[in-house]
Amino acid sequence: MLKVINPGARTLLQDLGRYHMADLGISQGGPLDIYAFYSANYLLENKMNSSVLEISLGNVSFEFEKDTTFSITGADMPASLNEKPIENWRTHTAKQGDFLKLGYTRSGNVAYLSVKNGFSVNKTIGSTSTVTRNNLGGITGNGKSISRQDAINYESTSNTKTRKLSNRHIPDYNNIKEINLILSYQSNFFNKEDLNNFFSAKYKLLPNSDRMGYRFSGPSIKSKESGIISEGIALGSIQIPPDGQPIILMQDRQTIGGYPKLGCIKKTDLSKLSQLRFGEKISFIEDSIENATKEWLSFCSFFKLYK
Amino acid sequence: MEFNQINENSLLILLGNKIDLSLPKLIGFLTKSIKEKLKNNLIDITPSYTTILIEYNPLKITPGEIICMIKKIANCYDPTNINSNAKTISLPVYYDSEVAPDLLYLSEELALSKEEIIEIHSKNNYLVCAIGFAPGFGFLAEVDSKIRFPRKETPRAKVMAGSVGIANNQTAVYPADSPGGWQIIGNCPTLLFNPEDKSPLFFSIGDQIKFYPIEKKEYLSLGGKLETC
Repeated sequence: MLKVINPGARTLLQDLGRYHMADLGISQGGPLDIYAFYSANYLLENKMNSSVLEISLGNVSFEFEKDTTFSITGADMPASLNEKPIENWRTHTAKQGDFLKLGYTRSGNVAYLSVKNGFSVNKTIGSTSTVTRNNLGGITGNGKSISRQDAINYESTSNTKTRKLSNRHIPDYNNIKEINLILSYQSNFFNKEDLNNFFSAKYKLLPNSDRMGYRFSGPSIKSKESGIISEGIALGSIQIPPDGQPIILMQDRQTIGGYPKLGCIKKTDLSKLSQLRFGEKISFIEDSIENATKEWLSFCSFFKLYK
Repeated sequence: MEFNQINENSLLILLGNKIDLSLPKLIGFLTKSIKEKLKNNLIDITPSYTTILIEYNPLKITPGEIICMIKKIANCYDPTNINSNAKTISLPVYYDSEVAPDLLYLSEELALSKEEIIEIHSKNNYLVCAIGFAPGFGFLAEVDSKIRFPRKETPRAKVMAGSVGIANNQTAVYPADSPGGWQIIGNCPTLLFNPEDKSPLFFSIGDQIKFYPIEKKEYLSLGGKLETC
């Protein structure tokens, strides 16, 4: 078991998410930063769908009750094992009774803690992903986040080889400036002048953002229609409600919705987007669907996704 | 039928540009057929009133192949064939102020007796037009114009599981306790959505739902609860 001493602001169990269920109104869930999530499992040579902990903002601590190998990726939370500083984005071995602490994040929003073979937690409707608003997943199966004194099961393992990512594969979350998007959905509901303003302005991430939607403030952009007939919402959709302030729909988004959408964030930029902290500013850039698809395919091949 | 590429691996199929009660049956048919044909190359499918969003495995199939396949499936659709996969499901409802905080209010506002509202609401067959908002929440149409009523201006913080509500021309059953703004006129004690179950929800888009009134005794024996919030 991994004993939770301090769960911090919010720690959630996540695997890849709940798929084939959108027609029942069930949100996908899954890790906000898929690059960091996959990397955590990749380092441990885990199955890519293994369950990990998604830690928001840091200031968490755990006790290992069995021997294992673990990895920490994502936001730069200063980690220590038995009070001795350790590096992130690589594997470490832990012995029974070892104490792991992650400090408050220095850059980025969410970090991932994975153990060899992932956490062993029963799935609810095909996944362990915690979706609080659907009351699904997590260690109790009903969408509860990790709390103090929880114990999360994993297999005891030893003698796993050390692996680390080279520096060029470790993202820098300090200077996230530009996020690429693809114009699609109802992009023809917006006039040229508003679109030009949208692409030349900066948008600030608001504190009422969550795993359902990242809310931004900046110059408002007006749709010629205030609503549409509710339709399926793809990950990273940029929804423009009547106040003209964009909301980017993330992993815990509702399955269908009736606000006009400008398009979708490029999939390979969603990880970067998810690592923004409240108050940080970005600008949006248009990319072509062809280019975005090419990059997504090479990402999928690298991590052996959809296999 | 129109196809729009939405992102790297999603296609949106548009089947109409206004809510049309002949569409859900077609959309239900297409959704089931697409699931059967695409199998593991399908990642998720989100049908709604007039559209179907398809998320696919981009390493295994191209949007062109999917469009070609869907056109073929659509050609096989015969709206007159009653053996198509749509079902009719009957659900019991206890219509009483004990469990329905808006029943008396609607009775006053609509100048109809409680009995008339019950009779009108339980007379029609309703079509499942969309599922969303929350797991297992089906948008059912179409409510008789005599008992249509808009949503509450301020949604309730908590609506009890099983609550049967009206919002304009649509009706629905809240599958779980949740916030909600629909006008609550009854409670259905049947568990609609069960995450423990192999098939967690027993209706889908294109199915028909019929409500029938039950007395308190039967409501309680079916597991109905008497709290209102």
